[in-house]
Amino acid sequence: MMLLAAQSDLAYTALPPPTAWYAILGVPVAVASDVAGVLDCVESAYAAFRRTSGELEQAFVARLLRVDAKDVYLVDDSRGYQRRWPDPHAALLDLLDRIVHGVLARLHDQGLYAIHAGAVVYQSAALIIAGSSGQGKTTLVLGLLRRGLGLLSDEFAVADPAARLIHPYRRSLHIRPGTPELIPELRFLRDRPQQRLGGGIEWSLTPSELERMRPGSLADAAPPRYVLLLERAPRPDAAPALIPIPAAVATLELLRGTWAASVDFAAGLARIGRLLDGVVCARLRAGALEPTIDVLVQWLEAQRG
Amino acid sequence: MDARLPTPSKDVSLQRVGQEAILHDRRNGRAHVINESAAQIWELCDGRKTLDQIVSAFAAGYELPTSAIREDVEYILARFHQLRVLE
Repeated sequence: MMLLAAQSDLAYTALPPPTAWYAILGVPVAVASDVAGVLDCVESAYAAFRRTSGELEQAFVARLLRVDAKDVYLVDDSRGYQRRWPDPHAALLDLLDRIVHGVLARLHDQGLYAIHAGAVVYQSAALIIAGSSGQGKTTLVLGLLRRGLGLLSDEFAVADPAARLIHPYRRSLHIRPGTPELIPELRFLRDRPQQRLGGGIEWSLTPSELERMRPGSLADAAPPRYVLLLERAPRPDAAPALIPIPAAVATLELLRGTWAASVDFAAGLARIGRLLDGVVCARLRAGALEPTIDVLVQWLEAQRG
Repeated sequence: MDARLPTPSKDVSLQRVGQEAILHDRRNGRAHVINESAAQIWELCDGRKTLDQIVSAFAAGYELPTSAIREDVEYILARFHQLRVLE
């Protein structure tokens, strides 16, 4: 295993810190921490990827460790990242970020592009829903699941341009306050303690919980056929509207939402461009949830015809 | 470089996507969405064809007289120059 940090100032030198193992889209990941609650928080996000053990040599390793029993928290990873934090919550958010970056880098090495977007399946074809954090991707995805569409992800549309497929990404859904009021099946979450997982206070909903709630809602990989770009946060008092846009414009916007674009924009442009060839694209001005879902389902139906 | 022979910059690549295409300029990271006609004109700019030859080749593809499209081709080439994607 790669030496992650100078270990002389770490408190755990006598005993290795508790470690949790995951296989995220085939990427082996080890997360280690000696700080109370950290592994529980990671588990709430990545429960569906949990493994009982793994090989450190092959794994992406991320750690959050308390340094010398002082109020200093070190986050490091096997790609050489290191940062110290004065507060454990900031360190936890950094650790979660490192896990995402580590996985995305490995996926990129395998030719997969993780686009910051939700993805659902309608009639065996994938709909990619891209938008900034807080624009309502997860709520829209959940609303579409209530109409019988299948879930690929509420966070990353994992694209395989060579196979022209969007793969499922089974990270737990992060539900924000306000969403249980719109999705009645989620009201039980209000009895759970909230977590701060970045981007606001949230609850985690694991894929198995979703499957119990709506059996058959976890979809398999599907070819992309539709792209929606969220233009703004929903305005409940406004009528929803869909504005067709060229696939080339959607390509650029989706590419901006990938980690890979920062590594090799030209290669990403070629691959995402091929992925979206023949895909129907539109911008969505979302209104209240149910009327917006009505408009979307009608649009999807119309494209099939 | 002969200005009468429109030549694409080596740092600019064309990616077709559906009915449009994207010109990506690696020097500044800029990307320009262009329509199919502009993409065809871009592909005719090979550094060997003159403006007249580009107009003729483009017109032949649509079975149009060159007089009908010359102004449009000149406009597209002027836009390419403005975007600094031609040498």
